[in-house]
Amino acid sequence: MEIDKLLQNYKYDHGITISPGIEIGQVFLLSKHDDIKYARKITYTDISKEIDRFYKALEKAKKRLQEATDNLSNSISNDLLTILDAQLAILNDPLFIGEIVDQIKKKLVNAEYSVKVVSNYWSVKLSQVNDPYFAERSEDIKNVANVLIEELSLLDKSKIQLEIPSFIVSEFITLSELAALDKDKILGFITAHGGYTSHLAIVSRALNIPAISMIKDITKKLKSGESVILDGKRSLLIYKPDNTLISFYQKEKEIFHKTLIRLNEFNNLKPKSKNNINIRLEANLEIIEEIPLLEKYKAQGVGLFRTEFIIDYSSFLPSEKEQIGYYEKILSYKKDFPITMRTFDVGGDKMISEIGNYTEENPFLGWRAIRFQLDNQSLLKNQLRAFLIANKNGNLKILFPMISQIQEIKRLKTILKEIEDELKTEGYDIKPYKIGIMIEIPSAAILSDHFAKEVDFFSIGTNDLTQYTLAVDRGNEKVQSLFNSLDPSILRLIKIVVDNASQNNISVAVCGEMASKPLDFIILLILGIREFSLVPWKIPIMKKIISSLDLSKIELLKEKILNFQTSEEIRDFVRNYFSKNLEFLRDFTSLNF
Amino acid sequence: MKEKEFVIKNKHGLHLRPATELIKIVSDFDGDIVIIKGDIEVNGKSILGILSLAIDYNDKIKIRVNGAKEDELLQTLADFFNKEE
Repeated sequence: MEIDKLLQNYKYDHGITISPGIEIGQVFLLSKHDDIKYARKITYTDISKEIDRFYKALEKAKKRLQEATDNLSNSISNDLLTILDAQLAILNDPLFIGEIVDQIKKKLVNAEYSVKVVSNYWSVKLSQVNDPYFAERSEDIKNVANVLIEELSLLDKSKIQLEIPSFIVSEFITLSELAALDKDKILGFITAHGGYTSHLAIVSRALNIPAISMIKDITKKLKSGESVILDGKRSLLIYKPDNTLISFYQKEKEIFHKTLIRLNEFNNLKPKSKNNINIRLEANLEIIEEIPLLEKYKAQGVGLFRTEFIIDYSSFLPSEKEQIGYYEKILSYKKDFPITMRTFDVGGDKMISEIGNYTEENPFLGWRAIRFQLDNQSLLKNQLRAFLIANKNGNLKILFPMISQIQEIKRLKTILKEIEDELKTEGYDIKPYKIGIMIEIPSAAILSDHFAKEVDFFSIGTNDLTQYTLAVDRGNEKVQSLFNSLDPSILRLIKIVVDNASQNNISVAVCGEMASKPLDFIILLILGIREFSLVPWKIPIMKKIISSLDLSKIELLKEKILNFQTSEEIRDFVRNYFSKNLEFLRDFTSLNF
Repeated sequence: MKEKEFVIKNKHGLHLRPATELIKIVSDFDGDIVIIKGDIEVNGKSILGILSLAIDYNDKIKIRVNGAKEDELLQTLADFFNKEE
């Protein structure tokens, strides 16, 4: 290939493309978590403004901590509650506060740096005491400092302003850092960590900004102002390009843009098969920034709105009022546009990681999602109340994750009824809403006949269903290759769910990764799935595929596929049989399908 | 202004939980509180200050209070230190 010869003359690294695209330009280094970054000199006239900033952030930090305590007091140990109390006490400590204000005044530095200096001092001082109890407190101080610094950065909306369009380079970019960036001048993201499903990846794809990740020690390899080329098609980052390479890539860039235009032409297709069956294509969304994509890709609904982003964004547990604000923004998008909101699907370890050392050996099999919330109902009730209050258009569908037992859904329905009564007494108008469960734990798939009688819809989470059924941790490098959603066992489980849903007249959608992969998508159509929720920018591709298929004919392949012994046989068969329908994908390889 | 001496009866000393409880008691007090161990004095409303004294089992500390309800506070503190098992 021409490119290999060309690249011999340049230094480059391989990475993972987490958002497609090709760009050429300068980098801007976003260094983090080192004291030097935070230090910024201020002038005499800025002192009172800076102290004001600090006090504002202090109040917000205290509020969050208090809410966290209130939210968790029923279900966590007294030890952890004490730690929360201690952190709150630190935020109220006149000595701590006084020393930070002093730093700002006397050293003429910004609040973030002052917080760092003072908390470092105390952290070291306490860790030197010869008693483990005291030593542990130094962790609390570090934690408090981090929260304060985060609150300070949340106060500044456009903290980082780029003068010229640049790539943002960092070891890792968190959701709150993303929120603080002025997106208009960003050429792309280049990081060392953050996979295909990370927040960075999701936001980049939503905003059509190319991004490449898994480039080790990237912040050591580049300085702000240096030039690079991000080749998302080949997953390469090329350093110090010269004019020859740059002109080559200008052409590549044009080709990529033409590909995107071609892709968008498919947008105008209807998701209707050759034999006139309508397929429902909805979108998976994670953050509010993605809402414009619904219009752009003509999604027919939101099949999965993951609400966890609120927790990541605020790093503390969100209050009911905050949640109502977020949910209203999404639910008010359009009338008669169904929006499926999934309740918090996080591990107990993540929820309380800010305040203590609660870890699980097996978080995927552990205290997470609905299990955590049923044990800690104030959190669940807050979210459900917020859902119902925000549901002003009556287009809400509530989705419960990680359901494995029939008692769980029965209990949840009782709780919902209690909440409805509560809200009615408070004067709220309850608009219609639907209830559904994720089918991701094998027991729910196997017993889906019972579950179908309790809910209005199913949403099959094929990623987790595959993990649990094959007993494979996707994140574990040693067994990653065993993860395969096309394993015949998974397909048989899906068939069971489809049949049970149909017999009980409820809808069933697939919202896992399978819905976003062309080959898997076809197999799901064969199995009888007629509703999908996928990443919005893949919707046009699926429309093209649907329009080329006669579903009455392909359904005849169901038995054959379900009788194969291995996923390889299934894959080979489907790839061959549908090679003509998938041919068009060859023009879109730069989009990494 | 009043001053009183206390002996720490809690086997773990004035560690996290009692320190946090102590802070809750004194933070409402309208006035000044100083906790003294040996030569060192710290602001009694500062949890970091208290923790930095590293007050252990059997340590003697003095608490100096100055404010409107100082007698009441000293009594509450006496109850607090006495009840530590």
